Amino acid sequence: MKVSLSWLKELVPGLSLESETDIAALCEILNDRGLVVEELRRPSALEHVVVGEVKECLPIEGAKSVQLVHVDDGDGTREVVCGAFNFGPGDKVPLAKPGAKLPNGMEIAVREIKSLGVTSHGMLCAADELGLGEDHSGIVILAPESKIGSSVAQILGLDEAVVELEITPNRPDCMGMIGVAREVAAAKSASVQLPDFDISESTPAVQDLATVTIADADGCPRYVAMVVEDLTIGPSPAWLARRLRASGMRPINNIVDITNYIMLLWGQPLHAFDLDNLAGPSINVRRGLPDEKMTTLDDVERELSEQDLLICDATQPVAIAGVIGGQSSEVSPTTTRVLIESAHFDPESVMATAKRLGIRTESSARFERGVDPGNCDTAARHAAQLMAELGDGNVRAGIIDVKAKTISQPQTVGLRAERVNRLLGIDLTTSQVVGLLAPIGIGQVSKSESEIVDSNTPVALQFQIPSWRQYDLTREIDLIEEVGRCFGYNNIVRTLPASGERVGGLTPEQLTERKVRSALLASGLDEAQTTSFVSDALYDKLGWVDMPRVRLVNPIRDEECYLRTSLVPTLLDAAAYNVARNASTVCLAEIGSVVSPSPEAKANGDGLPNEKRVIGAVMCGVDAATPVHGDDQARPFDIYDIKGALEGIAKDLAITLDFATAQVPVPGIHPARTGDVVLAGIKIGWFGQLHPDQAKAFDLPISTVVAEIELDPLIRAHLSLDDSYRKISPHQATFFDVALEVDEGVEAGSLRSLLQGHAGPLCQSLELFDVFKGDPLPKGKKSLAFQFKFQAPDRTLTDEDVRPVIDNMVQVATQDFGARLRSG
Amino acid sequence: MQALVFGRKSRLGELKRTMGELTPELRPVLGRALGEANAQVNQALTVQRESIREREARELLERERLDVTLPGRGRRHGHRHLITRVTQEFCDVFIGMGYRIAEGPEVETEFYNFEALNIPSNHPSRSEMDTVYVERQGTEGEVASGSGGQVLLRTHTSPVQVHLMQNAQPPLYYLVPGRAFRKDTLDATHAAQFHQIEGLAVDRNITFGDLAGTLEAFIREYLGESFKIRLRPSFFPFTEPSAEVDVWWNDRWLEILGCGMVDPNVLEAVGYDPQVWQGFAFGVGVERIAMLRYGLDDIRLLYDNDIRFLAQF
Repeated sequence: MKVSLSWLKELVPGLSLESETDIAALCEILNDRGLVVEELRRPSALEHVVVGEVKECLPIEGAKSVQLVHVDDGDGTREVVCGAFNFGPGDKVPLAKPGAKLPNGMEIAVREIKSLGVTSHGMLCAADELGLGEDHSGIVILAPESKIGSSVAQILGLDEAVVELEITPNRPDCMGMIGVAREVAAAKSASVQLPDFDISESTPAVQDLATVTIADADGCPRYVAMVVEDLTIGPSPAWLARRLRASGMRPINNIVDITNYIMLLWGQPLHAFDLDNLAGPSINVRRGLPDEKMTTLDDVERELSEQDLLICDATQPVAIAGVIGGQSSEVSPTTTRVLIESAHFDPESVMATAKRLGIRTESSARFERGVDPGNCDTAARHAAQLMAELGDGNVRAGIIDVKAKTISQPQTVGLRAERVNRLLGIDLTTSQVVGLLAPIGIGQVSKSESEIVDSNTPVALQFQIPSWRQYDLTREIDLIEEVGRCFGYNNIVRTLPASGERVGGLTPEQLTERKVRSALLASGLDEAQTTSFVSDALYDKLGWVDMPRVRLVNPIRDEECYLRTSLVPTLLDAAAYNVARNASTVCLAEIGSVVSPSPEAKANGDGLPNEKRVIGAVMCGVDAATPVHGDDQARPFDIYDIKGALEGIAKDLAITLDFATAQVPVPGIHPARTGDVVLAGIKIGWFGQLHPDQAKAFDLPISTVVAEIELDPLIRAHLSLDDSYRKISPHQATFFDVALEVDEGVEAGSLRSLLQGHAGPLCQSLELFDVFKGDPLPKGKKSLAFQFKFQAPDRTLTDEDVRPVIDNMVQVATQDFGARLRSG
Repeated sequence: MQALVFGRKSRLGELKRTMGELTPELRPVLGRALGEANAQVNQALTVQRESIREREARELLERERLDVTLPGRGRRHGHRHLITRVTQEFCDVFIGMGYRIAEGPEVETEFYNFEALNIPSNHPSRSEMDTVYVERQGTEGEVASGSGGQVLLRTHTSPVQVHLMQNAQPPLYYLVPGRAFRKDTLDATHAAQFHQIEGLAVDRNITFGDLAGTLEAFIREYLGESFKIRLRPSFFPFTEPSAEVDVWWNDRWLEILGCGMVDPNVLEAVGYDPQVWQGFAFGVGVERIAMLRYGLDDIRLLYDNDIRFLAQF
């Protein structure tokens, strides 16, 4: 909502807007009242931009997109090159002469265009170039009576300050100047000067000229119609054009401009029909019929639906109620008689139709929020009076005012001062509350009238809600907000809640999650945040063709139409992004939510997919060592790097993760270099090297390894640990090394598990410390060397304690894996 | 050396041999003198030896000198993502004010995301223009009554509020961080996927003044003592009174969050008596705070996962 400050001052005469300080103070008031100042357009003199009259438009040889225009600027005719063609000889247009500086920073100078052999002595301006909104569709056509050579800024209202307000959906009243004026006046303890107009009517009566019927009372509770005849259509006078321009609207002709002016003033959208083109002449408000169509003012044929509320004449739809008018009854230069529509349409109905048709107009924007139903007649009368005055017409006697449904019943809402104070944290008396609400039209109902007193709130005051706020103010809390707003949010003393008995903090689960995050960082993984949306192309690239997916109904980008079921694909994308930028080492990890389809379990349920949090990681390229020290050369990553990162988490959480050859390798992963991650016998994830084909597809190095494990089982395992302190034995530990020769195919992990299972209670740890193949071992054999640490809490162990355990383990290993003891 | 000074042929040795030639009276005199001389020489020798040893040790260590300016032996070091960092910093300030943290699912039902939050069924935010819907699982397309309606990606973390309130009795002081989704196109300041932190406090006598004071305390704690805020009346379906909060930033007011007192309808929807319980809620974009606190000029940096960016935090 653009608010011209001079117009505002006309409505609030007490308002002072002389200085910058005054204007800044006004902006502060507007913000404090919840009418957010989005932009303040300061007055601009637009020097050297004057009214020019087009004399001649000539084509330029060799140029189709520009023309040479001869313009009279009052001192003579000059040639200007122009890229727009929406005007002709006789039109008055804004001419920026050399020396002019436009609001967008453009400086105008005499410009010779050598390639075309012409010279441009200035520029004709579109609206955006003058700082009037974004319209760049053509050159602004000024009112014909504009004086050649005079200042354009003055004509267009650019020489006055305009504030653009963002109006929240609950304030339709402030979609009109009077509503804004009411707020400003209340804040300044001033009063609003409502427009004063005298209307002289003449026979015949309007009832004899047209009829109005409402077939759909819910959609159209009230319809007011007036008729003005003997009109002369023409351009609006300068003051009106100037106001419309300042409000961001384009003047069209006096009648249409008056309807827009009334809308801007009162917040009530109007429509003017050419009465001669209304069959009947009658107005019937009804819903659309099957297969019904109409052509709207914007020259588009619209297919209507049975949900759309329509204004129809005796034969056909002539307007889409509250949204846009139809072409057939449009006011044209030859129109002499109009029917003014000033109606109230149901907000939801207008919203639904505007949305369905994808049309948002100044009118629909207002109706959607709920226009004041009590003001239809005033707005119509004011419009009729202006039409009579500016269009030289005669207002026909009376008005048609069909009230199909009562919506504007006197509404009272109870309010307890105690509630106000308790909720806002202020200390107002009853009379202060009354005093704050009265200036915005919310008056206390006198005691005798206020019979509706809530039984459990005997001290509630009753307030009368003005018709222009009736959609918004229906509950006590709504009035409390009004009191707070009028008191000033920033005048409320800022306090902190009493601390009471509460203690803040993270839950054990959240603390553990932070530990996991730290563990990932300690393993050298940078934390990433990848997209939740994935495409077929991404999954195909990874060979995840048959991977189950969860589809989005209306994705933001058509191709990214699934929710991620894994973090690995997007992490690979992120790695590829960095590799493409010459990163030689990329280590990324993410903790995030993934989903999976839940086909059976939740049938007839809430329809939600399964969702869980996982840790995803990718390492690719080389482990960037510090080669300057010679002993640690850069080395390509392998699966043991990513496994090490997972083990790092396990160590930080003091839990045991097991790793086993993958039972079913994940597609896209090297089938011989991938493993399952197992926690307490249950698979919680996997790790592996990217398949060489996939590495190629992603443009990633061969040495790319990935992992993904579930987060919550890790947290649960950590929290189920007995975390009390374990005594350190004062007795020396005994270390024992055993080297076993086994077939090459035997997995170290399996052998280790077996040994662990027979190591007995005295064994404190068991580590594989050497893997060896080749001479002197026979072909196909390898040696695995383990170190056992034995320790007892109460004594120093001897060989006799340990030897039988070792012998037993070796025997079992021989039985199960055909192991041969090499040393030990 | 020892022999040279103390040996038979040394000067001291010679003197010692003359001892026999002396009178018994003089022998002790010479003996004492010789003893003193011996001690002095020994002392001198010890000092000398010590100094030589010290010099040698010094020279040995000097030969082992390392260039301390060479790089340290590298360990790869990961960096916390700025989103996580800001979220944790934000939460920690509120933990200090007695809050707890709650999280919830990203895929939600219409009930939790809209209905329970007093957002009417025709509200524009529920349209497919603004909200991303997810295909229902289980029975094809059909929405059973009472099932919570369509399935969607939460447009704010507020649904967690509702879960919280359904499962616990007040007083409640919670912060709810998490990822949320809106059909915004990505530009320098907007992302379709963003992170929100929602605050919720429900108690018997919590006031609008407490809301303003809490937010001011947070801003001062997190951005600095000199920062000031202002509240502007606004409109949200789930709070009343509602406000937008601006912070004075680089000589102008910058909008940073929306907030308000929890609407009685929301309290009623979870079975709290609004005559007894009242509270406030606020929602703030983590990206917005990150941009303010760390001077970010483009939100897309947060999602490119460029390690040159990640490594800065």
